[in-house]
Amino acid sequence: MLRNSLTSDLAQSVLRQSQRFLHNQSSIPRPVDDREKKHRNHSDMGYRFRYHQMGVDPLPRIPNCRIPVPKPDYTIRDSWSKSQAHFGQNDYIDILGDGSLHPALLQYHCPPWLRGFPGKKRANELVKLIHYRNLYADKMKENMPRRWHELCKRIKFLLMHHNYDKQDELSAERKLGLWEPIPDYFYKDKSRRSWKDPV
Amino acid sequence: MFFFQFKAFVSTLKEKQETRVGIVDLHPDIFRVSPRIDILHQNVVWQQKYRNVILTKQLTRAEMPGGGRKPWPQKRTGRSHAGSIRTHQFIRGGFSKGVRGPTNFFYILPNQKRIMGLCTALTIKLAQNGVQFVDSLNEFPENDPKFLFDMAEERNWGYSVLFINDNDKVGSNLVACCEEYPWFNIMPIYGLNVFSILKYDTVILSIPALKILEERLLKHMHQTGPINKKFKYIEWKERILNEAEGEDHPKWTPFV
Repeated sequence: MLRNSLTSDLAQSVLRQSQRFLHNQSSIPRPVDDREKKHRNHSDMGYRFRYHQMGVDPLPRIPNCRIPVPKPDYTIRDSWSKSQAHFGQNDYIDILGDGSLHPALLQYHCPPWLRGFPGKKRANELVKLIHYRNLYADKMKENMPRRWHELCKRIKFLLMHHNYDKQDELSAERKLGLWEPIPDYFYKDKSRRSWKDPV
Repeated sequence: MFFFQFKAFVSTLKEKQETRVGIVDLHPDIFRVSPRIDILHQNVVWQQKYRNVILTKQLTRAEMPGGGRKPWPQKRTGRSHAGSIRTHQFIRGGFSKGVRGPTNFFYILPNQKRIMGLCTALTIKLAQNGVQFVDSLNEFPENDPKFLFDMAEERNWGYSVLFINDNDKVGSNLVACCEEYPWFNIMPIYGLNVFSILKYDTVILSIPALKILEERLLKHMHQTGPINKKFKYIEWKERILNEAEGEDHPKWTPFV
């Protein structure tokens, strides 16, 4: 009995100490009740040491169940297949070759209008669609008016987004090397309150 | 500063055992650079990423069919306000900020980094005894794949071997042997790259290939002009589109 009370006292003191250590209450009296009181007190930091149940629990399975557990098909990956063994073969052809070829010319798995075009991380969707429109506008107007309408609608939507919601990105766009280097007549100075302000 | 010349033994493929027939000088700027592992990593990541293409396109509400009518009145129904059945909160509705259209991840790592990556890979491979030099690949004597297999065992080449020749024409004996085992491969010198150097256990360079490699790498290292010449699409656009002239359908434009 004595021992029990002792241990409980010890446990309580430890608990109190740990709670004092992880204090989340203000000692200063406040006119409004402390907001942090209603927060959950993580005494164990989300970790519970399972002393009597070590190891990893088995997965929840129905015993003697005939229906197999769904799982992805087993795929054999052949890292020495023809394409894998020669992976990256022509990536340095502009340095090690005679200078007539470049890896951008050899992206045959890419549609021709995207071959060598700056990728997703550099050119955004608007730039990409304008590039497509520059190449195929006449053909689309002639043969696929619905697709042409959708393309124009998307470009218009993205331009509105660019002009009204976004910061100036033309400076980044100029570094892509898509245009001839000309002075920037459309510089958008976001430090001004509106375009009507005097410069 | 290097006070002595780095050299390597040259062996021959005429015999199964390793027989040394000469010594070749190695340029320290290529085979003894300080190993920049970070640049090596950038090169491998570049090789894996720059070729990727996404053809997925999630349609927006504007591109999906229908959805022009207001499905139910704005008020007094007890349901949420809805202006179209193709908005993003509907099942079978369009996607906002989805994956858009055919895109690629193309970029070109700066030339200096790629050269440095090649030199680092060669340096590390040579230090690990993974680069061997032979006088010629055309003098492979036998048409027997077992002979090549035994030669690799005898010379301790490891599991996979990459033969590098100066051009794309190699003697028929070696070609026939390499076709038998998928982990023995032959590449021309312009096909050498960081990924393959790391992938294969042993890289075997013929002496003419080594000469071309050193000449071209040193030329790019020491050429005049801007050090990091950027890849600009506008410079290559005309040529790329001219070469792809017959690929487009005469009537329909490609998927966007």
